[in-house]
Amino acid sequence: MNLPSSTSGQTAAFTAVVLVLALLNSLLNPSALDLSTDYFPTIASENSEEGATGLPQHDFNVIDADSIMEFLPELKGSNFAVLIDARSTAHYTQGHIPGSYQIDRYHLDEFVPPVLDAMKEAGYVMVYCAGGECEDSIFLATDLVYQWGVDKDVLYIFEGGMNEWKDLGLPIATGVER
Amino acid sequence: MRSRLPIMIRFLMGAILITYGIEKLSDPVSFLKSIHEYDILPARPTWVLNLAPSGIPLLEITAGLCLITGFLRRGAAVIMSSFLVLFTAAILWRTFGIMDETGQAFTQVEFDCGCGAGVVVIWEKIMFNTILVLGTLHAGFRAPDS
Repeated sequence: MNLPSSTSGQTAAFTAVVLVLALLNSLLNPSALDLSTDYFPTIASENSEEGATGLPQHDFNVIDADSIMEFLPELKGSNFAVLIDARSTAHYTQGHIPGSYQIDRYHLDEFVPPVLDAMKEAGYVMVYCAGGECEDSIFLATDLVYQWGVDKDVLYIFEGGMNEWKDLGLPIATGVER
Repeated sequence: MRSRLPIMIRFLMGAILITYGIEKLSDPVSFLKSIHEYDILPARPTWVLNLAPSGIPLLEITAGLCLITGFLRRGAAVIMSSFLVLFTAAILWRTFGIMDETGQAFTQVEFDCGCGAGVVVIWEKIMFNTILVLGTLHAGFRAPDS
């Protein structure tokens, strides 16, 4: 095989090689991001001006740590209240709120179906991520409402997230719980 | 005796690029968030933004391998250095935005630039990228084949 000798020929060939590798990675690597998924849905992006918390403004219900604490006994054994951790598996297994399901926002097709029925039956679906400026809980809530048909009225965002939960010294579970 | 420095620069640049590429490829979600923060690539069509977290690291890894092996070395140097210049300009753009918002001096600005090294001091990152651009061009065009 003759390699291009001119700089422009090499530049074109190199670009082609990288594009092919990137496409192959996206198609064949299971941990790669799905090319067709909108990871930053418009409904949240339209209100992306930051509020006082540093998060994008949104119109979901919010819930605080004390209220979630009251729900903790309800999380096991019934679907009255469902708590969702929107972070990655690595973060979830390191420490999460006891009784929470994990839905990695970047792999919805894998994580949502096992929890979908529970979320549709629940009176309270509470979503959290890391806290601080983490936007994943808001984007996940948006996806759950507009792509998966979860009732918006039952959705609550815990904006303080895992950081606030830890700062308050509240109980933490590790590993894969449910 | 010919200096070994040009060969060492080739290998060093290649190793740095491969390391950064692997770092980004191992956590595509964090890298996607970083890219989204720059607000440069359009969110729609989705594949443009979503291809970047695999495309950019593979660009770095492939360029690093090309610089080390000599395969398509000049083409790799052109694309990689062009990308680094554009990326550095984007970092500067975001830095000026942060300076406007916070009133911080240029030397005080720190953020996670999505470079694979977490939160960095920006003026140091820009200096490093400048050296990386010059080193990559040297490795592509001036260093001997072996």
